[in-house]
Amino acid sequence: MASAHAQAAAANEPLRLVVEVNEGIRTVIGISRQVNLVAINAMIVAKQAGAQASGFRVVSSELRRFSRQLDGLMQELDRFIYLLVHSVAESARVHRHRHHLDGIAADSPAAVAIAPARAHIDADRERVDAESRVRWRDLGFHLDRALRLCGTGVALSRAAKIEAVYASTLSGDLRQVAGEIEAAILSILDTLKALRTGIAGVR
Amino acid sequence: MKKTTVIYQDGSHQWAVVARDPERPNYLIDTNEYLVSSGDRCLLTDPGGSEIFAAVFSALTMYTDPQRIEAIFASHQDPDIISSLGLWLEFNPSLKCHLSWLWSEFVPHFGGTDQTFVNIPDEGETIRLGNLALEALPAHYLHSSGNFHLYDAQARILFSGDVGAALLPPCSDLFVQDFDRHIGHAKGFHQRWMGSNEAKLDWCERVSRLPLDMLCPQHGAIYRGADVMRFINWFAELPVGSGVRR
Ligand SMILES: [Fe+2]
Ligand SMILES: [Fe+2]
Repeated sequence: MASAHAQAAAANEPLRLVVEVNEGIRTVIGISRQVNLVAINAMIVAKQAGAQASGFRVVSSELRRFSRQLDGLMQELDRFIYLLVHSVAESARVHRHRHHLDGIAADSPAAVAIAPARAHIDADRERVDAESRVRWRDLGFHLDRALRLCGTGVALSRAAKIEAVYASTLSGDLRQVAGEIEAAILSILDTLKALRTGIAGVR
Repeated sequence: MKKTTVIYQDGSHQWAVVARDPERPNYLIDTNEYLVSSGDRCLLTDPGGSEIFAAVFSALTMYTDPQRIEAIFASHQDPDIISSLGLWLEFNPSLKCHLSWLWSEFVPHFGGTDQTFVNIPDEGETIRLGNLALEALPAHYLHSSGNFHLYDAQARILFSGDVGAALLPPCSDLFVQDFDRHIGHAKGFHQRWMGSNEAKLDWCERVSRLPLDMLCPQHGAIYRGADVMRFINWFAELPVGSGVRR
């Protein structure tokens, strides 16, 4: 019985992971949209500040582009989530199917009769497992892309901080805005890194 | 391990029952599967849940070549009746499953496509197995709302699904030996599982007119001889639908 429970827990592991990744993606999308709003605000403030804040204005508009790109990338991950849930369900079904044949004694006439069906299910299981491996790997690649993009985002937010210092009037406001953006992007980076590590263990 | 026992034989026309699995885990209800053979063609009634597929398949294979099973008769949609369908189809993808039209979009969740199912209309129909004509007899609301029993007029046997079912202690006899003692194990089941007194009386009236030597339920023991009529009379008197608070 204990082993059956352990098996069930092991079977649930990928599904738990998919749910975690899905939540992580929602979090990143939320923060990334916040970054977009803050960047729009910053652009307005910088415009009011005039020529001395022009550098800040440029960086802010770059930050907007970044947040939109990240948002797009995260939306694409939705498709991966859908496919992964499908894979997990398929895999559970086919493993369970196969498990139901285990009760047939190895050297019985029933074992001979069921052999083709067993081979068919085994082939199915291999196909489903291989497909699922590819999907997890693709998800990993996609997260790597998002992480690289975030690297750019971090650099931009640092640039925004520097530009905020140059724009001496209103610099208090802009510095605060730049700080907010940096904190947001760092938290996105943390979330994405955690997801990347989380799925690294999946076969 | 389940065991296959022949309960009727007239040449190549046979009824065999797969029953009594002492290794079955306690949390699963014990079920009887019946194999009707005519020549080298077989039909299996209520093949059971996927958890017991291995036991049923093994027991049947000791008795016959399972490749001969060309059809499944599912009295209704319950998991203990038909959740093994997907596994049976892995074994033989061209198997046909006779089932109430009511469940035609539900049971495919257990496996099968529109090629698999032969929808039985509410009034029932004849199922041909070689030279044999088997009648799918309406038994709606006993307990399922789309429910059929299978009557073999030649063998004078009625497969009665959940009607006649009894929750017996392990290793009980295959046939009812002492009706009064046996029926105690059937009472609670029928009171709670059967929903309609009207449907019950209609069934009793129709079935009492059939020449019957055996009444074969999906759980419990087989009624033979005078016990068949005893059961029908007992059932006719029993108030059912006990789940409704009065
Ligand atoms: Fe049932
Ligand atoms: Fe049942």
